[in-house]
Amino acid sequence: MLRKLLLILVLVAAPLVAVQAQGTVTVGVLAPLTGFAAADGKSAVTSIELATQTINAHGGILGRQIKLKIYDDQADPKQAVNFARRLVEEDHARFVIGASYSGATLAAAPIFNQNHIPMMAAYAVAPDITKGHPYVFRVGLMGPVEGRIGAVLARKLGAHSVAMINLKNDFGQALEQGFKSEAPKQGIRIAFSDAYPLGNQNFTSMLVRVKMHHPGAIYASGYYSDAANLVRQAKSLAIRAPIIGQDGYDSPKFIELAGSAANGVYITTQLDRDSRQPDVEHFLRAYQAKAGEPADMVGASGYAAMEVMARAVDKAGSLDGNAVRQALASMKDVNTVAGHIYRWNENGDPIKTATVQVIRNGHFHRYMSVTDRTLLTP
Amino acid sequence: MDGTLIGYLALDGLVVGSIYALTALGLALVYGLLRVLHVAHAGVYAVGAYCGWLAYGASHSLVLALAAGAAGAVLLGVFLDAWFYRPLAGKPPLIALIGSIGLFLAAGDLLRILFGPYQHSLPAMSSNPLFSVGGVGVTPTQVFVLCGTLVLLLGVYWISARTRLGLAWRSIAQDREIAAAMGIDIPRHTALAFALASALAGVAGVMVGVYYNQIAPTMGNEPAYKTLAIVVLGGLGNVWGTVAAGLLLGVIESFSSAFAGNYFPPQSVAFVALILVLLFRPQGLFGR
Repeated sequence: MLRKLLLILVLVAAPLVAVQAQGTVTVGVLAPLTGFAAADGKSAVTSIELATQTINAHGGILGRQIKLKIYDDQADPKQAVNFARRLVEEDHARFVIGASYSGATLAAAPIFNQNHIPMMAAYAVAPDITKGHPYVFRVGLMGPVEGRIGAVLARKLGAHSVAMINLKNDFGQALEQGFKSEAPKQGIRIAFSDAYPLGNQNFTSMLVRVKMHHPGAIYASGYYSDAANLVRQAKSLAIRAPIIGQDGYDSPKFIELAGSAANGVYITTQLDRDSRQPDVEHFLRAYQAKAGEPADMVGASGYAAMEVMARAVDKAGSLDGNAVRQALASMKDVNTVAGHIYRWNENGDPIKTATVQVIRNGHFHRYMSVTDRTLLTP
Repeated sequence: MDGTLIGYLALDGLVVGSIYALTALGLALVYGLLRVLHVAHAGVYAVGAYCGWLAYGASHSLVLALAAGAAGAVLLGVFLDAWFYRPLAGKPPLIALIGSIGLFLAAGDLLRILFGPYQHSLPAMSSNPLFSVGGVGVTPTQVFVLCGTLVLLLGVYWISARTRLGLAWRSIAQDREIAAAMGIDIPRHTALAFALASALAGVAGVMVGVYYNQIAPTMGNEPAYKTLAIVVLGGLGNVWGTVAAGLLLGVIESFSSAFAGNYFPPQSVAFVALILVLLFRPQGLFGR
């Protein structure tokens, strides 16, 4: 009896589902929702859903509603490859937001590229993601560019010598390379440079050695949970040199975990908390309402990735992969919640503005905006 | 080499080593009685930390946080003993081991589902230096971890050396069947061992949360493998060998991160030590 009922239900419901599906555009999302990177995955997906709601509320893209198909790749390249194939073959995604880490995004990118499905990487930093993949673009700031901005900032803060504490992964290495290339031009000597593995909680031994060099500033790459420990321990050691971080620090969680030690820390990032731009204000408010906590940089980049893709489809006037790709490549001066993009270069990497934020009284504030095109060009 | 640097490294190593010792101690106790590697112990540690965090959030009392961490961990530990390890008694130890790994993963994911994937802060104590010894600043959090560990270790020593419970544990560890024949209630004593081991893990979890001012669903991942290495280094089931191995590992990690961190990640020290010990001294550093 039950089986019959179910069968009838399926027969009645199936055409309804099919009709609904015709009016929607399937957009794939790869994000780490479980495993070590789950916090970033959640921020990104929350924001992508938010951007989708906003776009759908304004009539969708080309008059069709966006339907998200989200897969948890656990930041694992093997999983990313499986889900990328599924997005191509089973879900027939029209375009994809890569909201995962570099390794997973790098593994998935060639699959979308081969199938002429445009992909927008939200916050992955590895340069090879876009290289040789005309269908793959990026919305986030490039690591070496951010490193260079770090060196300019260190000089502006009056430092002649800098101690570098580098995260030992692709993100940290890209930043280190950028910082070291710009430092001599700024007249900065690297007094100390050492690296630590992801998930390191104890920076005391490294910081004691940093202290002995009396640097004018500390350039420390990393993500907010490690960085919170770093700045707390620097304060315990009475280190007074300013600490310069990057968008890896850019989360309200950093301030919560570091406590008062967060005050006076500078970061180079893309989300300007003091912006009066309506879409940034809307994003910060809507994120807080949806997630129950304030937005972070990973979230803003996920939102920006979706915003940009929707605009590219509208500009192309079609969902055809090649048309969308060409629209993206020719788009100029795009405002997003994560900075102003002047244009995309031949690799599909953005030339975009950055911001330096400083933490005062437990809040991120704008210290300066970075708009120097030569500095910002990858 | 600078004296202040050595002082900082030694202090730091002892603090980290204390937490290793507390976490691994419970594992050694359980191994001694049951002969299974209780990987889910690291899950108990994380659950303890979350219980402490919840209690701290509600009361802003560190004492209540420690008590809640211990209590939550004891409940989980005793539950695991009664509903998981006891039904598997007599089965090959590999089954309990695999199940234990599964329970550990489930505990981490349960915390993520309940409290989200983000870190939470446990700002119970300042990490600004309290006083200075020979140029080495000591923070309240370091004093807290060192003193707390000392008190707990003395307590465990007293139980194991001076009480009938400790005597019963030692006799079960030596020969389970003869102990049973002498009228020792093995399930009850095993449950008590799980309770003590879990309480230590729960308190260690809260201490780590306070020391680093953060807890996360994944916080058990590192202890899960590191405590296994420590227990083997200490001589499987040798409780005091385990404590010594934990302290030693903390200090070696601290010095190696200062002088060879770029080439030799501190996380690998435990395994290199483990490989060397298994090759040259398979009974462990302190095994008989």
